[in-house]
Amino acid sequence: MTNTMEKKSEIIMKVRDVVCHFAGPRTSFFGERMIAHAVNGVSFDLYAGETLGLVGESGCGKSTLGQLILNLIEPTAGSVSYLGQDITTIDTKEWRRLRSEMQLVFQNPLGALNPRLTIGSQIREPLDIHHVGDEDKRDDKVLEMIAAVSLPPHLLDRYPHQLSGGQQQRVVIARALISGPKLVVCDESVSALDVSVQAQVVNLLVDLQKKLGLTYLFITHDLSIVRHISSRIAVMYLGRIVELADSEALLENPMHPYTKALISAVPVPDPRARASRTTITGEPPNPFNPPSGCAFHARCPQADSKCQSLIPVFLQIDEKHAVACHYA
Amino acid sequence: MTTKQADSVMPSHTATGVKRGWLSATMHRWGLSGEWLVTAALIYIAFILFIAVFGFTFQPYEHTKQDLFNQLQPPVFMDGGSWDHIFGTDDLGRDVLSRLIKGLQLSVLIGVVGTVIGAVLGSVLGIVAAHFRGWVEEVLMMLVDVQVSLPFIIFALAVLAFVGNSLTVLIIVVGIDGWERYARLSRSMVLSCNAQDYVRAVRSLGLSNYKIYRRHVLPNILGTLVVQATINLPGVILLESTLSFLGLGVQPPMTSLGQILGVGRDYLILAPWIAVLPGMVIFFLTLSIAVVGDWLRDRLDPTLK
Amino acid sequence: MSNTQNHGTNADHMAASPPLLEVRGLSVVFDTPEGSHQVVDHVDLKVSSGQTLGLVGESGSGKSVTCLAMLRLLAARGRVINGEVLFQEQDLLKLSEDDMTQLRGCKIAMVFQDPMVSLNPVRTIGWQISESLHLHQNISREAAKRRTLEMLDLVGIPEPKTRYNEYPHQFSGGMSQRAMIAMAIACEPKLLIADEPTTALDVTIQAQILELLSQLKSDLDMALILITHDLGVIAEAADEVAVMYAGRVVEEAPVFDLFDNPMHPYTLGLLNSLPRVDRKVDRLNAIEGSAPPPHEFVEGCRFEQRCGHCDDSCTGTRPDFKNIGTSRRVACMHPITTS
Repeated sequence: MTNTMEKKSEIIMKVRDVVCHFAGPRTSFFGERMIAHAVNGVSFDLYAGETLGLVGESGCGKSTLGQLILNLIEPTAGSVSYLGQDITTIDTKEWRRLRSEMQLVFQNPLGALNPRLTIGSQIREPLDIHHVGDEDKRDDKVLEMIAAVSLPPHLLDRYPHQLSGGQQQRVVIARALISGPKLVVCDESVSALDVSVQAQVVNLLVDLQKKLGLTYLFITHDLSIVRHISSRIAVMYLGRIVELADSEALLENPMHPYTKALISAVPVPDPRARASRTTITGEPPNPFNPPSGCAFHARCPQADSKCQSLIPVFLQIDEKHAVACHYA
Repeated sequence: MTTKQADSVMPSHTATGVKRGWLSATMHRWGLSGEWLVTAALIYIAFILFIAVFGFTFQPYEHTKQDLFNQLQPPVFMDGGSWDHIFGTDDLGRDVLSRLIKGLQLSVLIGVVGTVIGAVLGSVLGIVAAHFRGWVEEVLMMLVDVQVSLPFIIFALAVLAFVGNSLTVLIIVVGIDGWERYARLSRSMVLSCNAQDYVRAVRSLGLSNYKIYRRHVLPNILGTLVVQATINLPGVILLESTLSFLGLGVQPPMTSLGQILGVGRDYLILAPWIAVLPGMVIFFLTLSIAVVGDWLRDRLDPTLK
Repeated sequence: MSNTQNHGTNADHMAASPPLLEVRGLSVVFDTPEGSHQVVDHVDLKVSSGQTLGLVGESGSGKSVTCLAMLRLLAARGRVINGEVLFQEQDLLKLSEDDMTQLRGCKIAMVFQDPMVSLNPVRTIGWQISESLHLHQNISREAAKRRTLEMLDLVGIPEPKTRYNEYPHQFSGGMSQRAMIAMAIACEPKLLIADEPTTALDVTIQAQILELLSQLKSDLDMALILITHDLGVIAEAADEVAVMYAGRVVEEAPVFDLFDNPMHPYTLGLLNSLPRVDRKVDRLNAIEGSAPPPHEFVEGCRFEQRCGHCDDSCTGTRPDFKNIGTSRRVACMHPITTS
């Protein structure tokens, strides 16, 4: 699990200069539609077997990026390649086959389950879709999977609303993993759970990763969880990655002022840590109307005229650390 | 504390359950405990359906058989009534009961088939609009707006007068009435359903669109559509009655409840039973269907079970 | 730094004066078709002026219901079956509905989780605040508007004159929550109840709002009840903490004592299961199982099945509160004593 090992392992996903625009409301009745730059030129690699944490505040484009990687939405520009194959240009048949290789685990487990189907039939669904194995062997596989997520088999005949939140999320995970994906995007997958249950699910995700050799892209707003689960962390701000580094390097030695502010803002369960707090002022800018230069300059304590006019380049500082700041 | 309270309530509940009569027990089994109005409505609907299907076996007279010596004879429960014509006779001496049975048959047929036509047509168009979005949606929703702003009775009269009157045309015309409600409803439900995480989830699992709709979207919107149909069904029956009442619906020798009502209009003072009886049948039928529709809406939601 | 000092004086202050609000044995029952569930079970709380009481618990622990019951804002199927709520030595549960309404907007105010749904979308922010002032305080519309502008400024909304005429959708989440706080404190309440005020907000905004709340608390000498599921927020903002589990308060302590030396196994479990941004652990110590739903509430200790410290004595009888020193108490048969 050390970083050097991961660097050697193969690149499962290569993201290059991905841009994704959304059309917003019109500026006036006859005006142009406003364009939101949800993702605005993002590049990174995802190594097989690692967990990359993707952190940012609401509206920074982290969920959009997750969907771009899974090819659930098409990028406006840029390329996403999975094991060397550009998946933004593939045909429907290839796309469908790819679905069993990469999966998404949602934030709200109850919403991600069809209220009218039993747990069992929903976990089985991916096998039916991709015609995995014999019809009658599939139920065995479902039993195996439900055991893997530590749920009792009698729940298979229940409906989603009869389960607790933690159990529902285990079902969602079981459904995501039953087709044997290599890459799993967890979009705020544990954020809606109660603290004590959240820890169970996080541990489960870690165990499953070890057992099945999964690669995770772990999207969340919660730096505490990211620190715990990720080997590397990417921090997003207004559609761009502003800092990407090994977890420990990023949290112990943050270089981007936004990362520093974010870490400082996370409440720590220790009242003695109160004094060390530095809060930043202001709010994230509107993606329909991004500021010039560095998007963070209006809130940044270090910003000067250069930051206002020039977009900082995302630079590799050392082997483990890349940052987009003029003064890092 | 809480559990104790709950325990003390539950056993007494089941204890009374043991002593229930068959009606009460049946109601319990169908989830109808305490729902007397719904039960009555269901029984009434079942009775009407039975009459509509099997009525011909005990229809006392041919519905067209005239008995000119016994014109406008009152029903048996009024002065001057006789057991020969339980519900009396009309202006041509035709047996009202026989005509009711025959009329009911046709009214129910038109109501049910008409509703199905409207429901299927509207729902499919609504789903198509929601799936394709863009210009398809705009055109279809424009059609919906046209339909809404059209005085439908006039439209129906025009079509019937122009195309000519046959049972098929009549059923199609009454069926078309209301399609826009299903279209709007199914469109908005499919839109919200498609935005649900569970639909996004199965889509990201690679399920084909057809199967997403069949397995995940339709079952979740069907309940509401069925309820909409039960709300619409009385309207269809009433529309047929209105058209027949106006003389452009069912043509003699066929008869429907609305047509009987139309004939009875002329004799409201002299022989009220001709109009009042079919009127009451229609009133209670539409009311019952509406009551059952409300009840169904609650029953079809699995999260409320 | 100043925070910590404030904190010390508050604690002293508290010991001397009688509490502003004292809840005694509050029990709330919810009636459902399946039977009645007692979702809040003999809850005792107190809070003094200038002090923040943190009420922490997971979903379904009854923390929000407790506060709604205190203000008599329970939905139709919830009812208080026991207890008293003494506010300035007056039992709120015995007040007339009119007096209560008067009190609610004025001396006691509330801030909710989602500011976006608490604001009327078709009225300007300024109108909503000044109208409530105009109605509650019997002051002229002009005076209300002046006061509203002051309040918007006080809660840190930039350019209050412009923002006054804007609608809720033009406000970001953080700004809406500031506006809600402005509305809540406009009448200078003695008690502010904040129900998950930062849960819907981003962390950087959360830090700002927490700072604002604690600033306002000391400036206006209010008592603050902060309801949250987040122990981090508690550590950040509370002076006293009450931990709720399955409808009961299981532990009450000053914030430093609670985090230094949690005594209830649930509190300890909760702390251990938290991932932390300031240190790396190999594996989270999750509490097995999940909190019981209200229809499975038992008379004995409700944490027993998930607890590693239990024995036969935990079953059947409700664990009484044990006083530990003067300032804290814990409802456990076998409280954890070593730190």
